[in-house]
Amino acid sequence: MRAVDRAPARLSRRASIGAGLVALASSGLYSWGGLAAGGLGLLLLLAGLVRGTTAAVTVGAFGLFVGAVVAGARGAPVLPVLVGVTCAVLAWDAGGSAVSVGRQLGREADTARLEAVHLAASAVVGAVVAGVGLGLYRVGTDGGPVAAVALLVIAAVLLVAALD
Amino acid sequence: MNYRRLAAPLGVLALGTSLVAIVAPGLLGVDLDRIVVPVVGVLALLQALRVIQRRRHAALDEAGTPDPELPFATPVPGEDLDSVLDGFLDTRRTYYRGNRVREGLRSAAVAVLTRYGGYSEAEAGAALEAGTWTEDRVAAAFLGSGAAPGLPVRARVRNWLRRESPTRRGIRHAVDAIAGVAGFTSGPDGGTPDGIRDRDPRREDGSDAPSSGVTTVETGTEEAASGVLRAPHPTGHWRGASVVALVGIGAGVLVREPAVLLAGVVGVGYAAYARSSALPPGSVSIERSLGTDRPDTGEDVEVTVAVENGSDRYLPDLRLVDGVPGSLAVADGSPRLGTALRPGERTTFSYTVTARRGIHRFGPALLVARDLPGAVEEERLLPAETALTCVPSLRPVTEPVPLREQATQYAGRVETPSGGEGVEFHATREYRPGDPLSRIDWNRRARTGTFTTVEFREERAATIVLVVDARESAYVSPAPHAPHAVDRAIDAAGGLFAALTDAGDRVGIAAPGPGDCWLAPGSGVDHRVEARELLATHPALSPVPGERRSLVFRWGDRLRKRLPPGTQILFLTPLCEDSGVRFARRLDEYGYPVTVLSPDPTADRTTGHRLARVARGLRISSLRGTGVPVVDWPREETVDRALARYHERWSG
Repeated sequence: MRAVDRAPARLSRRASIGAGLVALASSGLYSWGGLAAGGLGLLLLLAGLVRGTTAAVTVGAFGLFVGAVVAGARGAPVLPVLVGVTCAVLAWDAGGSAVSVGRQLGREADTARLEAVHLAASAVVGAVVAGVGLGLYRVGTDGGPVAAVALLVIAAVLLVAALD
Repeated sequence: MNYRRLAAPLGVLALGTSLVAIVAPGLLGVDLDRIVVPVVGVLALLQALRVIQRRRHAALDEAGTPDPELPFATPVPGEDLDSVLDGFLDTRRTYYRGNRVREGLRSAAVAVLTRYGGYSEAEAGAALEAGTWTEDRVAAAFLGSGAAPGLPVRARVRNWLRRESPTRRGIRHAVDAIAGVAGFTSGPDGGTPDGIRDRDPRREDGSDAPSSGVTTVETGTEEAASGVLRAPHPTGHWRGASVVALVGIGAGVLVREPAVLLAGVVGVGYAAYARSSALPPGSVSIERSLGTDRPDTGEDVEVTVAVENGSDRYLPDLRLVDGVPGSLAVADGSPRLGTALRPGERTTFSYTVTARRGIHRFGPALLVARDLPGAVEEERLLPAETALTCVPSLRPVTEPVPLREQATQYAGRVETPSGGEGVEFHATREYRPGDPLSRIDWNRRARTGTFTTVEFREERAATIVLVVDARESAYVSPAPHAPHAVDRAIDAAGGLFAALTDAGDRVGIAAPGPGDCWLAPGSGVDHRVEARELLATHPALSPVPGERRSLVFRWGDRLRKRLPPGTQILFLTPLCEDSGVRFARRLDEYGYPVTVLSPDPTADRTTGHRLARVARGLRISSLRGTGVPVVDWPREETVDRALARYHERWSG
């Protein structure tokens, strides 16, 4: 009589690891601090995905995100930083969903479609958002001050909060 | 929330200011960068810290799923050491909590010493006091008074270095010593001392699942009727996404790097996405079909479940767990599915279960539905009525059924002590007029000239009622998922029934429990069909214990009124309780010869298990002591093998 295998779901787990690797590769090349934070984050993410703990996945993805921010602060170009941050968020989302699908349905169950739909939606959102960011950067840095961009972002945050 | 109400005007204000700053940088008259930047940066980072803290302290709120793959876990006798000890204690006396265990073990030791060790009760008590009853010094010291030899200093130090508390160690050694006197050897691992706790085995279904809020699917509740088990609620999957936005903005404006600032945009985007979509009010239905309706025991049955989206909305995240009956184990595949369904779309999944005796009703399937980002979740029960009925055929046991010497007037197979018609030679006697010619000993007539009549052992039919102990307490097994005593008893009852009716005996069946399980003794093909159906499907003999507590004595009285005089009783019970012993003894005293066939459900992994095994051994020998034959049927043995061994041991 075997117990149900509740390890994280395969597809999302692979996607999470892939996104983590991309995040580290895109932003880790620009600063040692970024590489260190990102590398540590990736290790934690892997540990969380092996053991099926959401907390480790979250902290690991946060490490990847910090790595990208540090790289950006050290003067990395906009595109790698945007890719790094987006992939860190994707790794977090995919990792969390891998753990939750694994916990609720186990590995024996057919969950491919559920995972694929979720991953695709998150990836599309990431692509759109990064694209918008890049566009905003092109517009915003045509002579506009940093504060204007910052206020624009804050406006978006507050409006999102208000709409909720 | 006040924050919320404030957020909208502040957002509009920030939007306006930023637009002004972009379109006409000089218009505001102040250097925005110098004032706004540090304040905004620090505020954003502080808020990020707050969000991180909140995420740290909040657990995810996700549905737990049951483990329908695993069948109902039956308890092992002696799971709870306290209740085993209660069996040895005098129920009329009250004991101090601390003294109870020791007193219980002392009475157990006295019981085994008087039963197996040849002590009288007084001698046993004295031996306990002096600690001379066992070689084990720990056990002797634990149950003895101060007069018992103590432990040497080295042993004391060693015990102190171990993690086991002295009391637990004492209990473990005492139980082992008692088991040794009773002739049970413990396993090589030495066993683990178990806690004294109260566990409800039925709640252990999800014990392998993570502890985060496991819900068991319960049918028949009001909520289940409406289908919604839990209304839509946030899962917390995306909680903390705003940290990306806040850290991006805070760090970005402080270090004045547009790349970092734009990282904040990604955060804003995902935060907005997480809040964007509401859970679509989908209507999902399932349909279940079985490969075969009436399979044989052990046959694998394929269960196919069709899931359909009956709404006109896209359902992006459906997690389904089918309601496999608690009595069935999944053999292959998984009764779970994770999928997304377009409007009107239908998909199927299948798995196989291993059929077992009885009627197995499938419960409703559990559906956990989420929105596209996975931020909101809802739990529903999807009803689908399906039942799997498995009626095993009756295979007669090959060994002779042990019966007592007493019988009815019908010709049959019980050998009686009286002479008459039959096969086996019994005696010769003087000829009496009217004796049949075939039984006159013509050889002797030729030799001596006198008429003598040969008498044979008369064989008469017996009326037998198979009484199956199917009370809740009989649903026990040596391991949680091993066949339990009731299943084994019913299996054996089928074999005995077939063998006895084949031999011409009149056989009936009775069991305590709901629905008045009673089949009057009879014979013939119809009777056999009836018995087969009753053994497989009667609610009193269900494969999992129902909600019931029947009074055995009341039931015993009712049974006695039904029994024809001289009926033999074959009582199938695990003998894990004294009431079974009392029941057998009372029927025997009322003139119904009782034979007990007892499937052994005991294990020896923990001290409690071992003590329960000792207690069962005592019950068997006390029953044998009052003249009731007991066939002990060990685990992992066929009933034929157990009967053969019994004949070997008790006929010689």
